[in-house]
Amino acid sequence: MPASAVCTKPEDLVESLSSLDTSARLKALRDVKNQIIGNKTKKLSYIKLGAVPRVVEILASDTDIPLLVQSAAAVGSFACGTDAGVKAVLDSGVLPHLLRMLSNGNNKVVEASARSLKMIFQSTLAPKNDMFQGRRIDLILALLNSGNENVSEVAASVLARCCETSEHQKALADAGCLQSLVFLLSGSPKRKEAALDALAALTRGNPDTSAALAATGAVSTIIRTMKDKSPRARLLACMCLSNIGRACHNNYQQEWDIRKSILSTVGKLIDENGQVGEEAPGVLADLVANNEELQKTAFDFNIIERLAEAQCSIAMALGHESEGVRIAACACIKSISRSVKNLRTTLTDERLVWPLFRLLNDPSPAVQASALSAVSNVVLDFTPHKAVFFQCGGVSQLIQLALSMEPMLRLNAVWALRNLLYLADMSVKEKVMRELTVSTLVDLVCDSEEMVQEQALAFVRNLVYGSVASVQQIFAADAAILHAVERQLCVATRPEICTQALYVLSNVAAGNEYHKDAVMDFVAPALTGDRSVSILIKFLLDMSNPQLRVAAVWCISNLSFPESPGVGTRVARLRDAGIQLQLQKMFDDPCTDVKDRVKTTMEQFLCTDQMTSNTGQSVSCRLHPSAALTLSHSSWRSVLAARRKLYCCSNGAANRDAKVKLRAAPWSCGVVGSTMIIYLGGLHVPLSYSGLSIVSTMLSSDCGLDPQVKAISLVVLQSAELCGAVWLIESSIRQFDTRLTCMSFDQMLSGRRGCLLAAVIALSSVILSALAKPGTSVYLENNHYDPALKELLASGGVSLCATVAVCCGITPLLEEFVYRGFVLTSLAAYASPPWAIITSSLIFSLVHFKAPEETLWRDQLVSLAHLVMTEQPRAEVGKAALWRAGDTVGHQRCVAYVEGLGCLLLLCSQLLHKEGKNKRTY
Amino acid sequence: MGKGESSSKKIVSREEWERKLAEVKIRKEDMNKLVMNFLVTEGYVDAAEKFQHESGTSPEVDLGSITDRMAVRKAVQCGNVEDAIEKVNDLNPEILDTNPQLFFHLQQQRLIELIRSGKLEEALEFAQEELAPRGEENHSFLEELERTVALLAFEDTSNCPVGDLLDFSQRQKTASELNAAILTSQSHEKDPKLPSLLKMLIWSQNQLDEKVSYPRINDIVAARLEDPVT
Repeated sequence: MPASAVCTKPEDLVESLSSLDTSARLKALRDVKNQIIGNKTKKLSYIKLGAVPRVVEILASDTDIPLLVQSAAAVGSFACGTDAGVKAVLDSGVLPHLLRMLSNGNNKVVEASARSLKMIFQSTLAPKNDMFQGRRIDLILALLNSGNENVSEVAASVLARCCETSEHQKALADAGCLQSLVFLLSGSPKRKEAALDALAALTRGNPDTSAALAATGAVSTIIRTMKDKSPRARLLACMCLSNIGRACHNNYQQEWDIRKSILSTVGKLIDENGQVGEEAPGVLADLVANNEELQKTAFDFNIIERLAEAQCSIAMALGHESEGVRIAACACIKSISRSVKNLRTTLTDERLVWPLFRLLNDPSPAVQASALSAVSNVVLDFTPHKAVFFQCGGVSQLIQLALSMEPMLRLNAVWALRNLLYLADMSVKEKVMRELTVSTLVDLVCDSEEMVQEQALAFVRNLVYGSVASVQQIFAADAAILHAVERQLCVATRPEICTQALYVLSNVAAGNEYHKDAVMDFVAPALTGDRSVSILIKFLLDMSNPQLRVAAVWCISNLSFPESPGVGTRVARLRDAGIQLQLQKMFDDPCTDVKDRVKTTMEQFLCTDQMTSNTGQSVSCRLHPSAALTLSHSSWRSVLAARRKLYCCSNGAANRDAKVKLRAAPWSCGVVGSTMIIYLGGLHVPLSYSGLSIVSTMLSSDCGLDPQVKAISLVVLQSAELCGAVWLIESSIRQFDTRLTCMSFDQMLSGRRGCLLAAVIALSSVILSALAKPGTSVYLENNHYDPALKELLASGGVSLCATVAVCCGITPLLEEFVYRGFVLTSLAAYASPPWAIITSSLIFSLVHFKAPEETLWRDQLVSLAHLVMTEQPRAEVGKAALWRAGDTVGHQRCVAYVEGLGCLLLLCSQLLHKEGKNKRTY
Repeated sequence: MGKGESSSKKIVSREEWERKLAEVKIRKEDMNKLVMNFLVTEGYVDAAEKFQHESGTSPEVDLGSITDRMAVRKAVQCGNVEDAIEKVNDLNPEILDTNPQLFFHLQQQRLIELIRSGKLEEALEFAQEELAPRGEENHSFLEELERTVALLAFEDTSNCPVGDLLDFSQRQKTASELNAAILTSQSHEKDPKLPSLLKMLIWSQNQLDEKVSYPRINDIVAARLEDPVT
């Protein structure tokens, strides 16, 4: 009876492995082998004691058959089950010896060595490429044809493990491996499995070898194997068939019958326990992956039930305890969800979606990454799962994962978020941004991984796509995101990243004037010298990637989009930056997409040039006659009415204009509010002569002042109000534009604090005026100013002139400037055009609150109707001129004032003319 | 008899049944294969040799491997587990290396044999050395391990709650498991085909009972046809 393992010390055993006495060596070897088989701890301890090199030494130098068999078996056992063992065995250089043993005359030696090889090649550490050096593979092929079942089985399974690249596959197929393997299919179950395994490896993703296998006529045998008793054999058969099916399309109908049965076989195999159950979802994923036709035809053939059956299995697999199964199930869903049809039909099953979402919390990062990639397909816009996803807090989970340290997780999480925002509506975007925060997004844009950067930029691209409000999001927190994107554009080298960043800019440039200007400042900086070269030129010149050029041209195209107010300036700046010159060179770009875009953009450039020259002419030639006309019609009452009419008219014009393109709003919401309150409280109430004002009460009362003094003071007061308003609004623009944070007054103006301050000023001015004049409160009930103005008009030349100047010049300009240029413009940026106009009208009428018979509502309705009847050209002229008057942000500010004033007067007179025809009196 | 439901059933008379049975042709070779399969799987080497000689049926496996398998089985049945392990490893080292459960059961049997022969200290040492690490690797083994080690706690092992482990049936169980593993490694079915054929016979008779009244086989051993119930 052999010595008990417990009695002999391992150290001694290892010593005697190198004993000179053959029988002692054999005994020690047997003991070691018997101890380590099935015993991981023993294996590791013997590896530590250095047993492996000694065992290999026996294999290398001995010739005694039992010794060789035992040592080969021991090597195999060391290599079985632990990576440390495989490493130790490979380090000892056993591979050449084992391969040499394969040509040994003794069957037992060959069998034992082959088995050891199989053990080694079951590990991922195995040197797979080494097997393709020299004549080694021929040896294995020779073993394939061996009469010994065990040997040929081992050879087949070694082949299955070795064969990884398409070169391997080709080399093996050329060596006639396929025929030998097909022959093995008729052998014992084990041999059949090994042969199928090898065939699956040989044909994986390789159309050539797949076709070659089909040509051997083995397909019918493999199809029969799909009904084999062993689940593993069924699975491997399905693998082979799906490989063949992808490579060859011969007999359509028959092929589909086979595919159907593959599908159902694999679906059932998912229920199997162990390795087969783990691998089956992977095979299923492989089967339906990238084959829309297969999926579609599968549906046409009404095998939805079968898929649904598989789905239940997938759902179960999602909750499987094995990590591999969960990963494979996720991959399967990902593949199925590549088809929109599947997304909308099969994948609507909640049993599938909920477990998938839950897997985002999986402890294993590999599962999480796999689940994320499936989720990113599932949350696309047209799926019904978006709501479900929000319900179960998926967004915050994604954001958590986007902060992960694991690059794969970060990448997939950002990808999923990006898909979530694809064509999403504003509420979704806001929800996501609230949770993600601007600073996190900036971090992701500047991530250390380039792939993450690309996806983060794509996320931003989807974020800013669409309405003006969407674009506005990138300007949150001092436009930190935009700056990050711009930085990436300057430093990034990968074309994919630059493309995404350019599309972000392009989407921003589709926003309003302010957004366009922000992009302009980056693309063609105005401040850094007159002939600076735009950064876009770099991308336009990039010939490596047409996508990059398309994106860059898109960006320019959006910037030069006609029918937006500032387009003239922008086009000029782009031209200065050398972009037009570059675009002209690109008329014959090799990529048609680029060519088309360039053509459109150049047309826009030309169109803009024509438009600016036209409007310039029309305004300048009308300036003088208009002044003359106005002076001849100078009844103050009619002028007032006409002014109101004009106001409405310009509103209407704005309405139509706004439909074409939303106006720029260089003011933030808070600034608009606070500025308006300061204006009303600080300027309008004390200084204006109509409505809710102090001057009006002063004018009406018999204070003993000379009418001429009153008239002159009216001029002075109105001019003061105008100057004050201009200064106020200008300063608020400047504050927003240059972001002066050190200036205390500007700081107070901005945000909620500014609003509060403004409210306090307004309130105190009203209280002060009430204190100064106890009768102030009475003015609300009486219509004071009419008789007062009448009196002024009636009392002599100077006062008449002054009053007319006030009524026809200063006041209209002031009101257009404030309500049209400032209030309406600001509102238009935050609300839809009709609402902006209604709201601004409301504000106007509230401020100019008067007796019922003169309510502005009626006037506005009448004049809106009137506007509809007005001929188009005149409205156009009025519109253009008024825009310029209102557009105080423009560069030629002074010119705009003068021109605006002239056009205003012109329009007044024209409308007065119509008024006379309509016989309407006030 | 005379029940309402029987009247709706079709009745097949004994003569008709036998005539139909006689119409089914079964090849002699198939029957021989079935017998050979039984002999080989159950390990009756001598009988298999004789049967091969007389009927000319090929056993499809190397009869030598049956001898080896039987030697292993016998070793376990005699309580000589260590010897059995060595023999299995010589036969195919893969069997125990890739089947942790079988390996554990063999080691467990070894512990039981040590306890049975009263080598308690050795048993304790063995349990710590060999079995404890297996329990760590796979927690499902722990319960069985506890049960086995509990044997050490009883003076009168024949009368303790885990005494069944010392039964011959435990050895038989381990031996069968090992036998099945060897058979699988040799690409051979674990069970003979004959018992599953009998199962199928009983199942089909039960199915048929619902529709037809016919001469049933009630006594499987004698395979005698009973008269149909009318």
